[in-house]
Amino acid sequence: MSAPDAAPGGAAPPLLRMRGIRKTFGPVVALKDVDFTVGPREVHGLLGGNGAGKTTLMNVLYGLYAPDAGTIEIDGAPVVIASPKDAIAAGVGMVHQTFLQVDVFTVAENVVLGTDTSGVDVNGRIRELSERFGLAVDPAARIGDLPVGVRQRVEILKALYRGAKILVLDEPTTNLTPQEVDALFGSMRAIVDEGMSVVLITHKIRETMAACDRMTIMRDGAWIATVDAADTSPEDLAARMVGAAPASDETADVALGGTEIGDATLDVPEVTGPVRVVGSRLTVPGTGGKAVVEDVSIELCEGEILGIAGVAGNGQVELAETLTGCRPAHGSLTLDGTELVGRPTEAWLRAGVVYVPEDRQRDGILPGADITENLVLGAHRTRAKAGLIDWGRARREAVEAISEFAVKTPSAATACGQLSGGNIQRVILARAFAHNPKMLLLHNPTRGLDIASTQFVYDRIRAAAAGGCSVIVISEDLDEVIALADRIRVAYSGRLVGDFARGHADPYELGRLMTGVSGAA
Amino acid sequence: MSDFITLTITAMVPFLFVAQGTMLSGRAGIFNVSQEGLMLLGAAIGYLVSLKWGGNLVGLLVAALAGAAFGAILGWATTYLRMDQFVVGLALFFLSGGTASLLYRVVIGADEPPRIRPLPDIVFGQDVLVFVAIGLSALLWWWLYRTDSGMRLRSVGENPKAADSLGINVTRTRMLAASLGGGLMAVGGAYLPMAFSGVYADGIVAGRGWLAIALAFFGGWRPQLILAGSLFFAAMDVLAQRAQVSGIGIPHQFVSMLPYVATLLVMIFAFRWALVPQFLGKNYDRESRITG
Repeated sequence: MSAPDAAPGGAAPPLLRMRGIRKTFGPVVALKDVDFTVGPREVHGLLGGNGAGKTTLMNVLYGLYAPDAGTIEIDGAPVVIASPKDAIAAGVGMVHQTFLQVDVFTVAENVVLGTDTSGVDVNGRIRELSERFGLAVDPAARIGDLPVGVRQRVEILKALYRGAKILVLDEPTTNLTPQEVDALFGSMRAIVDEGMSVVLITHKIRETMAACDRMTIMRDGAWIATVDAADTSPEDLAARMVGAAPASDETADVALGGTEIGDATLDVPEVTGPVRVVGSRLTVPGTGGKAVVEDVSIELCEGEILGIAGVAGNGQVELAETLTGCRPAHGSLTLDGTELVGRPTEAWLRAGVVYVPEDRQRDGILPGADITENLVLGAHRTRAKAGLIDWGRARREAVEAISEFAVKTPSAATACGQLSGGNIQRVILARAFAHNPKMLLLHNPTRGLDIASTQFVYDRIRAAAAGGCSVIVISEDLDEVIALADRIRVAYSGRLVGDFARGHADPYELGRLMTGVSGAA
Repeated sequence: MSDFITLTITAMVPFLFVAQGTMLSGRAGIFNVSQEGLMLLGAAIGYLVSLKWGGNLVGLLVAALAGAAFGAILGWATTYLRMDQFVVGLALFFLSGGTASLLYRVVIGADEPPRIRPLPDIVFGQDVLVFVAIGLSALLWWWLYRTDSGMRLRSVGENPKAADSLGINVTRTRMLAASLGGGLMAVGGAYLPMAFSGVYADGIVAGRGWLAIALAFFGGWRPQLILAGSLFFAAMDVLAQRAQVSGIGIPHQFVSMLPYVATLLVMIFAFRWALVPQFLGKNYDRESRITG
């Protein structure tokens, strides 16, 4: 481990040096005097759990957040970056996790937007960059029609087109198949070989080990360490990411998730309880003749966890809503022998079907309502006396739930929308388990959560399954599916394809199914 | 019949200016809803300035400046202050309409208003603003779809965060679009006393401002389609007036309703074309930390 300001590779100044960066959002200190140094020609991993401040630090570098304190030097010269315009001029390019693209524009228009195109052979230049860095795109295609993997290449091209010396990639492997991840890492090498540097923001240790020359670990908005890839191990990184918090041994497992795929899980016996959930030929017609959910059949035993992998936008939201009765569908779904299709959502809930949606803020809570009110939702009829809600009881139960699910909140009367993502998810889980689920469906249950909350969600899911609940986990994080599921299927274009028992799924085979390359169903 | 066409083309002009102004602001994400008031303000200023201080051209210019000032207020309140666009727009509707009425009363009072000279005809019995309005539509199309700066403006209305991340000044772009849009709206209003009545009256705009919002949606926020749509709206306008004056067998209220019905139909069926700017009416805050 070297000090953060030691210039790598001898006397040459580092390409980028950020010093003492401090950023507050109201009372929250998001960055605590962070130092960050990137040398020339290196892939530098910026590693940490969600909420560690990695993206915030890079948003400061890109001029999207104004820091409260701190200095930035590029090639040894101090620079002031007050807006993305300054950042671009200083040679910084950034690919955000949610792509910043204009959907109705073409690839070429998105790439050149904001530049002067007079006298420039735009398409020729884009093609030249595509070839040089292995980033195949069609300049004339409309962005909104393209899959995630291609849109990401466009984002990288945008930065390269502007002559970025430092390319920041924020969690770039989210939503990519293993094959696409390999291709991305190949492009990153090509970029470094041409003399630029790449900052790879990630919470996955496996990725930093595979792709980075050096890495900086952050935790709770603070710099923890900067280490050479050759001098460290996944366990060492996990320990630094998690820190000395209680139960850090357990949570380190989550941080390590996916570093040793499949190996440790082969011994787990297959779940063979009585069949609990049978869905058959579920179909949701879509606009323009193409079904959004097409001919989906599933079967789950008691205590079984079914994982559904897939790239976002392959009908997962619609499937989740279909399987939980939020969206009308054709076909059949029985829970313990009771047919539920065609019945109102309340009947599904009453029968024990509980849904933890992907978009927590939009579909999971009432942001302006307090925790007590959010916990009562869905149970408002059973908690009622003569049509009135028994608020005394609701408050008592809310206080119990807050302590049982370790929700960090000033009180049960705090508006749910003011909580962090991890705490919102804990409230939603508390509500879900208050319904005594027989079938629990979770969609991207740990997206954006810090390590401790992720671990908490995993523990709860496993405990629910151990208690006989049938669990469906739909996730775009392949590692998560592999870590949790007894059986894995893949959502592709509104259908479910593949069917693998725990320990028998090869990530690359799953990747092929996720992109529809392999037709086996 | 040729009379009907001539009248329709004249009636098209206010719709065209105001709808193009609405489109221009909207393309940068500013949804102005104060057209009705800004048109009235334009009519009052256009009339008064023409009458007292130097003729139609000066009247049009001063009206445009006043409209631009109101547009700039909308831009400022929704970018720097991040106030709700709709609420500010409604407030400006009342403020500009009231200002128009007040100015007229202060300058003219309760006297019989003198008529201003109409805009002179150039060719085909049409005045100069007819050609300006059509030329403006072509110019807007060329600017928005053929130039870098037009593409920047459109990107701000579609995804301001993306625009910002590429060094485009979202606030400045929105201020510019809101001001230009407001100016065009007031010009559309100033045309009314100059082409039709010769005098100002508080009821002179008669709902054309609201119709222009519908026209912007009808034309899919595209200058060339708005040009086509304005002909349809103008024809309905002329028909409605005829129905009112001479009676053509249908109640004039029915004809007046048609543009709205047509707009509703277009919006229902064109819903999937995604023709509305994605950030229409939505403010942009760079440091907002709303996580999905």
